[in-house]
Formats: sequence, C-alpha cells, structure tokens
Amino acid sequence: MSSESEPEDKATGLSSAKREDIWALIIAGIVMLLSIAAPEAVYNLFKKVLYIF
Amino acid sequence: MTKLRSLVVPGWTKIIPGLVFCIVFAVIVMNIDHVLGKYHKADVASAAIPAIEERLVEATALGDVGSIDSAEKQLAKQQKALDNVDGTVGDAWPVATLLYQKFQFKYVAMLLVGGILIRNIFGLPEILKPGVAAARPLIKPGIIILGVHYVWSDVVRVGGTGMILAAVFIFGTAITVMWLSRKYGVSDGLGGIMGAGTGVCGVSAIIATAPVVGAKPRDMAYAIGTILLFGTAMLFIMPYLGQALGISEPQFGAWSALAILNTAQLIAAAEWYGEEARNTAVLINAARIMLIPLIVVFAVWFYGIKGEGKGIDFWATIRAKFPIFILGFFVLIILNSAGIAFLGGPKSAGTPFWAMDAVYKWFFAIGFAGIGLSISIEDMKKAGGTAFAIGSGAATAKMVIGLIVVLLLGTELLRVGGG
Repeated sequence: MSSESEPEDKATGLSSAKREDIWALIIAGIVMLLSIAAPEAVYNLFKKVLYIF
Repeated sequence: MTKLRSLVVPGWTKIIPGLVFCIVFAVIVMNIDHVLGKYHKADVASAAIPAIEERLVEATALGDVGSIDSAEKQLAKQQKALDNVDGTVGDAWPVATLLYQKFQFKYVAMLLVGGILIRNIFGLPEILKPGVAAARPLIKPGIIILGVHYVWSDVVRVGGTGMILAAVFIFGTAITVMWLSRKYGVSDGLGGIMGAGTGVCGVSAIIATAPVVGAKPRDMAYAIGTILLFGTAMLFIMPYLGQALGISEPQFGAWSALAILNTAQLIAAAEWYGEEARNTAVLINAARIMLIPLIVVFAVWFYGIKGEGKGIDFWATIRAKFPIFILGFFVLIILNSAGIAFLGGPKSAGTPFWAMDAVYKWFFAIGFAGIGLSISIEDMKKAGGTAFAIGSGAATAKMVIGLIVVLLLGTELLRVGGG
C-alpha cells in the first residue's frame, strides 16, 4: 500500500510513506472537524448528493 | 517548519490530473454500484413482500403482537426498497440480482477490473500516472475514519487474536523464505526483501527493508512483481473461494488479513466479501502493520549481524518504519469507546460519527481506482526465478494454513461487535 520507492528526504527525515501517513491524519482530522461542525451536510453530500442516479 | 514544508513535495501539481481522473472514475462506479444495489434490493423485496404479508395475516389472526410488530417492520423495509425504484410487487430485476449478488459485481470489483482493463488495454497517459499513484494511499484516511466502527473490546478480542496470528504468520513466513533463499543460493538482498514482502505488508515492507539488506533495483522489481502477481491473483480468487467454501464474513476478513500481502488489496477483497469481513480485516491488518518495523529489524539482524556484521539502531528503525497513520485509527476507537455523547456513533443520526461513517467508502473507492489503474501486467512479468518460486510457495502455504486456522477459530472470536 505504500507509495513508490521515493528516497527519504535527508533534511527532514520524511520518507514518502511517512508523508502519506501524515496527510492521512490531516485529511481524517479535516473530515472529523467538518463532521462536528455540520454533520447533516457531510452526510447528505456523501450519502445523497454524490449519488447522482 | 522544514518538516511542515516537506509535506508538500516539489511539483505536487502533477498529481492533479490523475487524481481527478481517479475521483471521476470512483464517482461513476459508485453510482453504478448504487443503482445495481437499489434494483437488487427491489428485486428481493418484490419476491419477499407476499410471504411477509401472509405471515402478518397469520400473526394478526393469532394475536401474536411480537410477530405482528416484526412483520410490519420487515414489510415497511421491503416496501421502501421497492418504492426507491418506483416498483410494485410482481416486478422483477433478475439481471441486477445476478450481477450484484451472484457475481458479486460491486464497486470494489468494478474499480479493480475496470482499472486493470483501462491500464492494460488503452494504457495510462504519462500525465495521469503521478495522480494515480497518489490516489492509492487515500485508503489510509478511509482506514482512520473506519475507527468509528469499533469499540475497545473489539480491539482486545479480535485485535489481540489478530496480533498473535499476525506475529506467528509474519515471522513464520519471513524466516522460512529468508532461510530457503539462503539455502538455494538467492542473494541476501533479494531473499531479504522477499522474506519481508511475503511476511508482512507486500510492497511497503519491500521498500522499507530494501535499503537495510542492500537490495538492488532489479531485486526490488522481482520481489514487487511477485508480491503484486500473487496479491492480485488472491484478490480476485479469494472472495469466490470463500463463497464456495461457505466461510463466514468475520472468518474471511481474518483470512484475507493473514493471506493477502498488501493492505489495500486485502481491504479490497474483504470489502468485496462484505461489511463484517472488512471490519475484521481492517482491525487485524492494523495489528499486522504495526509489526512492520520489527520485520525490518529482524531482516537486519538476519542479514546484518549474522551475515556481514552491520549494526542496527533498534529504536531509530522502529521510529522510522512505524505506520503512524494507524494511531489516528486507534484515537477514533478510543473516542468511540469513551461514549462521548456529542460525538454519537455510526448509527446515531445527526451526530459527527454518523456523518464520518458516510465518508470512508469514498476514500476507499478513490484508492481502489488508483490500485486498479496501477496494476500493470508488464510489471508482473518481472516476477521470476527461484525467489519467485520460494516467495509464491510460502505465500500459498500461508494462505492455506491461514484458512485452516480461521476455520478452527470460528466466527465469534473474529466478529467485530462495534459500538
């Protein structure tokens, strides 16, 4: 599941897998904040609006 | 600040076309899945309603309040399924049932098969490749969000069982493959990554182990080719094999988590099999991927200390290879288990966790689109040689032994109750 074999960033020590993990945490955090702020809107978007047919 | 900046790779705009392509592909397929599912449910409802009505009449005649209540609820549910397609009793949609139930032609299969066909028949333009590669890891936020489905007792029971199974299977396979590779003269580099790859988590374990065992790019191509070939074959074979053997969803989830080597592929297979299978597979996989750093340490010990006398910084390796996204998954499980009222739960309408539960499948869909579009038959042809025979032999043995173990464990120990 990991990404391509991108070498580790020497300056930061961030490998591509670590970068993916951090982005996953950020994205999940954003989804959680949006779900706290407007649960009905998030639910409607992903359960109704995106199902066009 | 440097770390923060390094989260954005130079030239990140290159991922936009491919990512948009995967999102559009996922939206189209999810809609086809939705329509097929709707008509399949209506087909089932159309056949079921007369029998439920008969039961309701009998229960009313007997004055059995419990049966009346149950029949009325079932009738309302089936009528709703029929209303969704503006159908009436007697209408039939056998094609939808054939595709959706008999052939299990759900969004996972459509994205994977469709992606493979697009990639290998029409080819993937260069402009789309970076975005397709970036879409695959979007399964990770999906896994984190799926944490709202679990409570701590699931983690202790299913995850604990999974951790023991995973440890036995991982180290058993890795040690066997590394030992056989050495015995049959396969280079340490190729034997090391093949052992890690067949033992733990496929491609990520190969990439993590390659630098420490000094694997050559050609070795990596062989090992990744073998893992991809085996994983792709199992992804398509196992759900049908599971159905033919009649194994339960939790058992299938555990089996796929033990037998399939790649996180995305095993989640795809389990999701394909059913919701309960996916819940068990994700939890056991979480336990499994936490062992990745240990397998890297083991590979260094096996080839380094025993072979060439290389040193190892144990904690630095653990830190570098630990999949930190899984911590987010456990944080959500803790929050769900804590029973915090305002966060609710996946079944409490209007709450944050209920809203989050609607989202994860979309991340999975985009990730599966990325996987399907990344499966290149050319790459798989790179698999070969003694290492391929040893690697695929060990992976097959792991699959068969895994099946026996989950059949012996039964369903209940592996079922996720949720909260």
